Amino acid sequence: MELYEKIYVYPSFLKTEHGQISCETCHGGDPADPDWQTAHRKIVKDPTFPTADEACGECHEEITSTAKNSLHYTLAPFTQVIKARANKNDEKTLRKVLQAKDKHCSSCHSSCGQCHISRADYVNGGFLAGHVFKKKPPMDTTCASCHGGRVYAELTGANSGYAADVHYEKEEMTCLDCHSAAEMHADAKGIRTRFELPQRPQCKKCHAEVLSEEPKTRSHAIHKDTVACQVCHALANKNCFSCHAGTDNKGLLYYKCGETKMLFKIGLNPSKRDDKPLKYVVLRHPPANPNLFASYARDGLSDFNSLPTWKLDTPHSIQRITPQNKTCNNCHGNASLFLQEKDVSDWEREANTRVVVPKDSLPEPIKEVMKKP
Amino acid sequence: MAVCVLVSFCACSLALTEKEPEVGKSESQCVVCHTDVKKLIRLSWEVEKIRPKKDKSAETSGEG
Repeated sequence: MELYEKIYVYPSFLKTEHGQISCETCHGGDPADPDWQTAHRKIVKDPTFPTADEACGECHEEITSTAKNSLHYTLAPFTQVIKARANKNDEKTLRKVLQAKDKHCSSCHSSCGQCHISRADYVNGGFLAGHVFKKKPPMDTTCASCHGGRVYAELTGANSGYAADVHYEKEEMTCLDCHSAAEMHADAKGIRTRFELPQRPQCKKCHAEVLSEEPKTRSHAIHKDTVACQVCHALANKNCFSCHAGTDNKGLLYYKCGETKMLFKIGLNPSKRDDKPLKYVVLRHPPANPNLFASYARDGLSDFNSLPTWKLDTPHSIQRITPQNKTCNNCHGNASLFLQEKDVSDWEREANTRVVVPKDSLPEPIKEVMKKP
Repeated sequence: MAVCVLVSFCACSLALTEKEPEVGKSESQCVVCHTDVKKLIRLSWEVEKIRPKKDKSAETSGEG
């Protein structure tokens, strides 16, 4: 048993405000019982999940009332995506698919306690600081525990050959400098993707001039309404291909993921918003596969093509100068940067018609290269 | 004599009204064990003996 598995409480915690609340008030159990085995009967490891109302809501109702429906609590877009792709003509099959989703996807969530007191259960927990509540969870322990495979690696430059994000490297910014508490605690009911959340990070919050009516830089003036910031300023992102999930003959859950590749692909925006109808965005291939739950339900994802398998992405590898923005013609006329039909496998061609860039939409090379302002 | 009685009375009153140290927390077995590293290490060995092992499927492959 690892010591980090939620056991050692710092004596200093008992002097904090939360330390004044008796243990059993939140966790149950019998504090008078000297036998540890019987004392731990009915113990609740994380009293803040599945609902935050009881443990935290009494004092922090203004936060828990929305946080209980937040992205970290509910993974709302997962359900939306699976439902959109699922076979909705057969109730039995749909039920099997949703059960498989619950089995395999729903263990990956967080809660008040799993951000502010410990790491997430998904990574076996472990106090951040001996049960002391951290108002601002530490990025390297909390966020990186779950987001370490992709976003954190991009941000910190852990992908071999790719520099760290300038916000991290130069300004020493952490996740929470862009992803505010308001976003983390926001109600995500009905949200199809995290990009629909009004509290999401937005470049213009700090870089208002770039997206103003008259930006100083000419390339910003030309591109600001049609091209996402990341198209010019991000490096490659991590793409996963294929995933199958199932239960083995011992009853243990497993997944089989295909290869992962660092790629940079610009595509047509699959989720244009009225307030920002960008044409070009950076895309990423998540481990989507029509046979994801094939071992649970045959033809379970029969509406697989209803959503693209190349999805909108905001790589966390922002640079001022990137290979594609060094000169105009590093991007204009450089078809390899754009997602084309030949980049898409046969089985996912139909799903991606909305995001593949047709030949006549590839930006033409610029003959008279503009001078820098 | 009267002065002595008065002094004793005051002393007794002070002693009685002096705030007693909080004992509620220290009586909790939760606090007693969970703030004592040595105890926890010993207990964790016991826990280890009875806790079911977390098995991972051998069929899992690739980055999760």
